[in-house]
Amino acid sequence: MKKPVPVPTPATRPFWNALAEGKLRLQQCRACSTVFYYPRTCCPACLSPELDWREVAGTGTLYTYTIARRPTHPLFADEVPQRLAVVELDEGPKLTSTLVNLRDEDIRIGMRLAPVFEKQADGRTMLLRFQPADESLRSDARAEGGARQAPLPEVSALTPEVLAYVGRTGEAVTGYPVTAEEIRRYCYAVDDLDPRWLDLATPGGVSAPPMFVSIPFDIDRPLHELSEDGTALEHRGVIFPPVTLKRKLFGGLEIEWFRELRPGDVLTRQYRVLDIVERRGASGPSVFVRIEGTYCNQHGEKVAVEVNTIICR
Amino acid sequence: MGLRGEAAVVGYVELKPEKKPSGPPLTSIEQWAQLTRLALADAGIDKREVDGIVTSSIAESGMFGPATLAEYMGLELGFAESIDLGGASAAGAVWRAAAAIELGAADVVVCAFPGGPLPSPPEPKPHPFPFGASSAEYGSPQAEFDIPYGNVAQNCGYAQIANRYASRYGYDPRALAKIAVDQRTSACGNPDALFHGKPITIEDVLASPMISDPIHMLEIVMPVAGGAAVVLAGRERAGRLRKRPVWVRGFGERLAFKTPTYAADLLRTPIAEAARRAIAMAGVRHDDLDMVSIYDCYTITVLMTLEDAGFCAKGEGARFVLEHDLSCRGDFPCNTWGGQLSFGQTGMAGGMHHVIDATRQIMGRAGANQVRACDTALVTGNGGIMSEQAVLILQGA
Repeated sequence: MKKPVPVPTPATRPFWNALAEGKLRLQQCRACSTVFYYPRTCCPACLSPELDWREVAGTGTLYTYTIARRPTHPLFADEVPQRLAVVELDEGPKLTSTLVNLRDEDIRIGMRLAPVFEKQADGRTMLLRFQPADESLRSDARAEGGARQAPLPEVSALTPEVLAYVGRTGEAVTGYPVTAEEIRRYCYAVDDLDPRWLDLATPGGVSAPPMFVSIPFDIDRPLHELSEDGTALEHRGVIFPPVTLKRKLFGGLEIEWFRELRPGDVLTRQYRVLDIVERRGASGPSVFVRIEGTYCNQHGEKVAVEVNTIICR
Repeated sequence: MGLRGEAAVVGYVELKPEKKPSGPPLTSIEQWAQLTRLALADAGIDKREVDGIVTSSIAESGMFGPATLAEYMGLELGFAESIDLGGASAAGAVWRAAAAIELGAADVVVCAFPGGPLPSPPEPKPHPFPFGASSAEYGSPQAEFDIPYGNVAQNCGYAQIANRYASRYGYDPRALAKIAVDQRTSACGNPDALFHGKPITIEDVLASPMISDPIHMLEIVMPVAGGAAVVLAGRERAGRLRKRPVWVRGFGERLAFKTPTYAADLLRTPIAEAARRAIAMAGVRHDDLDMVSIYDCYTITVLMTLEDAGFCAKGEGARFVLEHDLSCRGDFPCNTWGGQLSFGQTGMAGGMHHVIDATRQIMGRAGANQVRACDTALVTGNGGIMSEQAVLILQGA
């Protein structure tokens, strides 16, 4: 999922078009003179549809705010701490925005604010943010003057490079063909003696137990080729964001089963990064990466979908 | 005008909240049927007598929810209402049911609010509400003017209200924390509460992580699985039951915005007018109230409700909280089953636990947490971000 951007409707398009040019236009009611935000097809004070657009300076005061220490939604993890503001424009209407270019300790309800027209990553959308009207309170002015060193912002592990992995897929990898013998060996190893997997006289033949799906992708290696922890260094098709935290933990596996897997089937597996979320705890940040693996058979039919959660910290 | 007080809550069910659901997931329709069976058994009323229902939206039936429920449970209804008021839905459902009974549209009405997880379909579908209570649909004002700035979900809105309050009246974090502490004291007398057996102190609340300034983690409800329902009946039917009927004497309801940004005045919550109307309709005074059950998604909600519902002057909420014991043993019993803060928030069913809290006290069934001589109670519901609110006055005699 991508970060949400406004999608104009016919009624609101003049507002967004003006904003794209760095201008703030509000509607004013011809009947009762009320100036209001957000744009509508009628005046919220008297329901008159006779409205004019009026350009305003965009200056106002801070009505209220909060600093979100946890993202309000995973898609906004890159903006934490989020300085979520309600701004009261000089013409009266209030609007939702965020504060930029100032230090947290300088935020005061009632402070004067000036608009910042900020082009978004899509290259088209303009959002309206606010900074202190008093230039000496702006953090870029402070940095230049060097009068007071701004504290280092808490660095998020979710760099743009990491976040770019959301939605990316790895190479599709084909495993070796499933055999009744391999299923039997697996079932003995995990002590699952269900006749559906083992009894060759089962009508329709044997099938593999649900957790078997990843087995045809395990490649046997001689001892000296194994890694220090005894696992095979097999990474074909694996995709993982370049999170810089030190440790990786297994955070759970969900698997959903769509059809039976039988001797003779050949599976293809493809991984996709579902989402990447940062959480901050007393012991530092953790990054939760959820990766979906889709298993299809030789007919292209979906056999199973697994979701792995990996915790980096 | 208003209710005559001739409809009563006569039975209820409150499922034990669970962080990790132990049973198999049920559809909302299945949960509705289960809650109805249990609530009717509690009331001692046969299913064939039910002729009214009030429901929140049914996940499996975006349209025609009430008719689908009637069909599934084999009911023939004279009154069917779907209600969409968030956390105020339960209080809103109860007065609508009472009004329908007094008008003669129905005699026995079930108001059920499922709060359990739904079974996942074999082909996973995108989440119906990817931004929670903020609608991401094309044309929605939230999608266009709020979500793109990260103004999503509940924490930030309540925190913005709290900061605005602080700038006008000052802010004592210890008073806010004490609300959570007193309710935890009550939860320690309720074995069903999620945090039963885990008392906390003001220091614990203030030491919990800051989520959205000035709100700490322990001032926010924890979502859990559950479900709750009540049954209402008219005077004649209620009079033939063994349990003490809990009459719905007054109500008020108020809503004017969805996102707090667009509220005319964030510091006068809709509960002010709702409470004024409910109290006037019931003809009671604040002194008559033996307990209150105040919707407590956050501590700030309780503090501002105490002021706006008239228990103390505007800006005096912190002092009121510090001067009174809000636990079930105290001089101002509030959320005597532990509140949602300590019981857990069972999704849309959350508001119904406040109705049941007051009902249980008036019926005299609160066990270790029973308030002495409890006849009259005030219940509030709160939906959105203090944007849709309702008040009930319930009375035992």
